[in-house]
Amino acid sequence: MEPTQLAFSFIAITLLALIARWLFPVKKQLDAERVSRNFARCYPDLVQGQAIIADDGAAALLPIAANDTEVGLVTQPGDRVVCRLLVAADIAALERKDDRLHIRFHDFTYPDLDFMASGVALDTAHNLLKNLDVKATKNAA
Amino acid sequence: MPLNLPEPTVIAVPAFVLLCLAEMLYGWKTGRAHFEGKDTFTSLIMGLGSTVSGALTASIAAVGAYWIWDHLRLFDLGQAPWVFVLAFVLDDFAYYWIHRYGHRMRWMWAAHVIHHSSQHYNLSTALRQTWTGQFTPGALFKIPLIILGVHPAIILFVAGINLIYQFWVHTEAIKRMPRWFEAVMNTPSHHRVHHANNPKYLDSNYAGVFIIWDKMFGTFVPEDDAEPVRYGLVRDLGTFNPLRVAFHEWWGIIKDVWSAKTLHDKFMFLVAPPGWTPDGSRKTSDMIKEEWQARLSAERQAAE
Repeated sequence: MEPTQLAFSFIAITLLALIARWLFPVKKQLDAERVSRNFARCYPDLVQGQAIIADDGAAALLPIAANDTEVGLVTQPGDRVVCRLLVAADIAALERKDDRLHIRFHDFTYPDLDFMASGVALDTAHNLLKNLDVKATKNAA
Repeated sequence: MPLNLPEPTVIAVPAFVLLCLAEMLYGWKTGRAHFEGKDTFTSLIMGLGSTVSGALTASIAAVGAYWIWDHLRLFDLGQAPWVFVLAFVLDDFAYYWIHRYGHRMRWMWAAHVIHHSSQHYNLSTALRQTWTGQFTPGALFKIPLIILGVHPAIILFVAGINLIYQFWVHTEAIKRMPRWFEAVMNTPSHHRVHHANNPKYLDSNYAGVFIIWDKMFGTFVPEDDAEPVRYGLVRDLGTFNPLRVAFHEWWGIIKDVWSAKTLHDKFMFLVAPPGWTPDGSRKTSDMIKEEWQARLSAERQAAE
């Protein structure tokens, strides 16, 4: 494949993606029902607690009933939902800022996440992840 | 025997692009096809990368294929039209097994997972192709065709036609084809099932062109309107980065093989189904299906 051909292919791809973005804008954000339904789909045997949903509606953390070794994570990277069950070993770094929690994962397919939150929600989210019991085995593939 | 056959997929590229655009407009108008900008970009970049990586390694594959042709072939079937038809059917049969092992052997899954990594199902998903298929044993399944006397150029040509056929089945815009067609051919309905991550649908419908292979070898599952298909992986990716998409399973294998305690486990991380671990701490598709069946039985018993 010649460099010119490659360049034109790249331009065509970018144009198509922009058209897709324009025709199909992402409108839906995470809400309690969507978080709960999707997490139950991925982890049907776990009993969910009250979800903490990020201010931008792009992520949510879910405590698991009677379980201090695992926390549910539901995110919306595009217009679809991705679920994870986190244990302490999955978290590489946890950095609290004024309006967000920056989380780095030991996960090649999900390297990091900004959990946008403030006030009580930020405190709760931070504590939930910080206090994960390290006894649990590593979950990440 | 000099054979100068065209590369069908290269010729088809402009049509692929136009059909993607047409499906987008159709979906926008009717709501019967769905796209997302970042997902579409990643799918198309994976397609471009696949073409580049294929071109870079084509000569290595050709050397191997022509060596077998020169030294191991039993017959020379020639270039008559019936040879192309026979090659097309046999190549599709080989494709069924390559594809089946592509899902059941982690080494081959590492390359094929890319094609399943989108949570969308549209014509751009068809172009979300591997960059690393040449580094798996998949091509071995085509060796019998060369030994039988089908020229490597004919195999390459019919494989291209096969790939072109598979493009159109990646759509939600077509619900069902006529019954006779659904019975024999791979269709959008059959292939939607193949791309599903619902436990009911896992590891089914591996066909390329003819769905009869799945019916013959017990892997056929029809689309059930009561069980809407959800697309993607059992553990979906949280990234659209093409490099991470292309290499994530390879990286997973390297980490697992490195940390495995015994040679047996190292080997199994390569050849066992995706999700296999020595201690069962992750789930294979068989385990997911078993758990789903158990839940279903329990729900039915509770309802009685």
